[in-house]
Amino acid sequence: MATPAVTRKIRQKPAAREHRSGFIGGFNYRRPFDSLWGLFSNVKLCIVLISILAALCLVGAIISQAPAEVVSSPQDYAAWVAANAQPQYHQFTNLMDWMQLFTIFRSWYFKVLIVLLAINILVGGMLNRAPAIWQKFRHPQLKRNDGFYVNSPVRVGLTVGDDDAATAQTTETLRAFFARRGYRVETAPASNDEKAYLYVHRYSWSALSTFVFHSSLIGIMLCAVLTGWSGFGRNSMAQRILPAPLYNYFQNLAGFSYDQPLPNGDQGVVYPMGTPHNIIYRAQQFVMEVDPQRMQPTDFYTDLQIFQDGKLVAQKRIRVNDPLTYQGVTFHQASFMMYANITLRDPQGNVIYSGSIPLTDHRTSPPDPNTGNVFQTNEVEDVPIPNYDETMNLAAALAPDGHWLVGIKAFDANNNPVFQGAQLFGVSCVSPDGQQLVAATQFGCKLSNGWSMQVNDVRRGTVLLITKDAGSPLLWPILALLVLSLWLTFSFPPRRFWVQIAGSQVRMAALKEHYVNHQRDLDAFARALGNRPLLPERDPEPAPTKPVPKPAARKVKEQQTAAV
Amino acid sequence: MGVMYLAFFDASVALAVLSALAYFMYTFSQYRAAQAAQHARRHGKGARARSSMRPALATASTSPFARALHLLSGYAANQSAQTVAAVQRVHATAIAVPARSDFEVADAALPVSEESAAYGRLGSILAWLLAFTLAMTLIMRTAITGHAPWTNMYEASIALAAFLMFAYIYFENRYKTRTMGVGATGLALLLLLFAIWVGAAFNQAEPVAFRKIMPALQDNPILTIHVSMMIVSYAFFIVGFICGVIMLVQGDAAKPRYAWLPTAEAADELGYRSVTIGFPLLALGIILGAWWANYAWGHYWSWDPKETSALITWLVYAVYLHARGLRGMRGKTMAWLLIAGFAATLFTYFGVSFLVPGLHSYAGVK
Repeated sequence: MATPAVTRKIRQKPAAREHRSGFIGGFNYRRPFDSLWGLFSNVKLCIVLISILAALCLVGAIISQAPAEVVSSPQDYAAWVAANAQPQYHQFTNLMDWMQLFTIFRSWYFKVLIVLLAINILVGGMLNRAPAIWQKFRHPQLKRNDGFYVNSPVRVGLTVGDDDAATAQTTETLRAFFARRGYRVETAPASNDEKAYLYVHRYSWSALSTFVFHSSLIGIMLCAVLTGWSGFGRNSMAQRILPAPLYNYFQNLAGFSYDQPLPNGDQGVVYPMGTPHNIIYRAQQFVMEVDPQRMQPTDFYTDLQIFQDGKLVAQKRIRVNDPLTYQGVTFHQASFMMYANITLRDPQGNVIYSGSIPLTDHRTSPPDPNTGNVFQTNEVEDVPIPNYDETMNLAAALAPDGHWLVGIKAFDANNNPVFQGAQLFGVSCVSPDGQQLVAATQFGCKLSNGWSMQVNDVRRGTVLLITKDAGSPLLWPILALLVLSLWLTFSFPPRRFWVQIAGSQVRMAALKEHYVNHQRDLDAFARALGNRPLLPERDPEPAPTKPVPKPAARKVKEQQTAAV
Repeated sequence: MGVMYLAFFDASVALAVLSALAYFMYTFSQYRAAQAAQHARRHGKGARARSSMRPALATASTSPFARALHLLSGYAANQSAQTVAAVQRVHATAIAVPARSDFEVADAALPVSEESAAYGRLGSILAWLLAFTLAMTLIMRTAITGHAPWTNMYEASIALAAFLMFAYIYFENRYKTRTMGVGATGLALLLLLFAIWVGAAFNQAEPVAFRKIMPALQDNPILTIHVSMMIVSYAFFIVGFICGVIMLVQGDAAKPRYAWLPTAEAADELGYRSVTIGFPLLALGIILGAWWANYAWGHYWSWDPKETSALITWLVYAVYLHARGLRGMRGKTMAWLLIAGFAATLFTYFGVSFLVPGLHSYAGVK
């Protein structure tokens, strides 16, 4: 009958802890700093945070993420969700969007977790461990109490040299032995018991590499912040608060990244933020080579020129793996697309629009059931017509005979069709209703509203990626340090042994470490030193420790006691 | 050159089959030896072991097949060395520290039978040959194409099989255990079969010259270093996975379930060693990839599925290392973490290529 009483007593213990005054759960609100320090110095928190981040990364890898260029614009983002997420996730799309699953790496909770991990690394990985690691490295304990040498779970005892050798002689033998193996040997101050004590260690410095590693992680996060820094906005309070040099310094650090379609011969201007002068770039020509057998591009490049203050300052043939950098701005060969160069004229021949239009969308039609032909269509929508409140859609399809069919359709502000027409480039015009081939007029092919369209060229052109990133130059040395510190940590784990010498009797012991198996090292030392056991008459074995009763047995005993 | 390439590749497949078989026979012999030892313990000294369970000091072989096997594996030539080693072992038992293997692996814990030793040695010889033929396959392919042989899934799978064999051989020689051989060679064989399938299904077996691969890959130094670092790290993680499976099979470290397998403690330590090699290599691979992406794509990190999944793999092993190194955790949790790391590796290697679109669409399997 007494058994339940014991069980009750054991179960009541945690409940009593919960009611400690000043605590909410495990948090001591009377000493919040200590509690927070304890929380963030806990390895368990680090494991939990990394696990959650890994799980979120997995979600982000599986679910398509909205590209960076659409996230900044709510309209673009909504269009992206409608086009990419809605067909895939149907009724769950809104819920997933609310959970920021399409922008998970930009979500607030992802950023909070990164900040928590950074604090955890700083506190737990560096500050909290620093004193102990530094103490071990700089002021190690040269001698331990005698019980350590006989009770440590990692130990070995043996006889070295002649049985009646003096302590000093054995000490010298061991010093030479460990020195040959690359260990540093330090002698503890002499004691009164005719025993000598050695502290033997190797790679002690590698314990410090953990600080380099964790500092590198913090550094990477700071670089990421710097990379994402795009400057203060217009009318920012920072402009009023910060001193001008500091404000300008931060503004100069601001980065950017954008794609720039650029037809041959056209030029663009670098976004002026952070650059002392406008930088103008010009795509002289874009060339692409295609493997005719596999119909895949084997090479594409742009001959790019950079102008500053009207002068040519740099030029280079840029390829995917060979960008051009000028004053911190890098011009990458990102991709390519089709361009149609057209001229629109009114019935009197006045030019309404003239220039190259990038055909940003590429589509492949399903095979024609009769001919089996597949049409590659490049198109663009909503290109504004200057001085008119109208937009035009343009499409270019490659006909089986190798000619480009270019079609145009314009809409007014209310999305009503305004005009349409088409031209078979290099062959003839197509009637506005698309039914027959007709001859060109004086200004080109006639459109349905009386205007004319002349297709001047349809060809591939370059798409540049223009970036400025203050974070990346700092990142590479930090990453090099990270890899180096990892390599040092795992390849050269610190090894520390304490040796007690009494005549020829030697006891070696170590702390049980998680990284290295010191017992194996000690066994190897023992083998190398002749592998002779301790002499029993001179060094009796330690008294056996009191056996700990098994939990089950203890419980029975407790039950019996309670019953009595 | 092409003929030699095919010859080496075919030889690799054949050797993978043979070495997996030899290691399987070795493990099976170990299993039988363990059973015999158990039988002898239960039934006293009078119990007779079968011929395959005789200790290494026994000199006579029973069957012509066994004799041929011993001859093939160099057993006869090594007989005297074994005798000396056995005598040393007998002497070693009388002194303070037994002269045992670095680990309590099955090879050290069990009395190795003649047949088992011969199979084991044969497996090792075949594994070396397999590693050699795989290396030659990669070298031949490089000579033909002019670029590092890992520009698509077919080539990368052969490379992974090669690096896996080298990783395994390193562990076999460093830690004197062959028990994991059946797992390593079996997985290498699976990778080669996968390469054959993917080569046929996606027309990837045909060598493509350097100037004809996609432009983004036309940077030989970084292609060579970045991808090789990733593949080598995967190879070590596979070894870690095998250790994780052994840990789970063995259960409690204090009471191993099967004497013919390495103890859970030994497998734990071997798994840890493999991760400590693979983890920095994966970090280096990811960093080199970021460096490449920075000048090729304009961003060092784009959260592309491939790089994200590589990061996931790195994070899983970071959890493993923190749990083991700082928390001192051991046992099943560590085994499951090794398996989770391997799952992340598989997802990075296969999953992203087959399932998720992204910038790393070089595998050519879509």
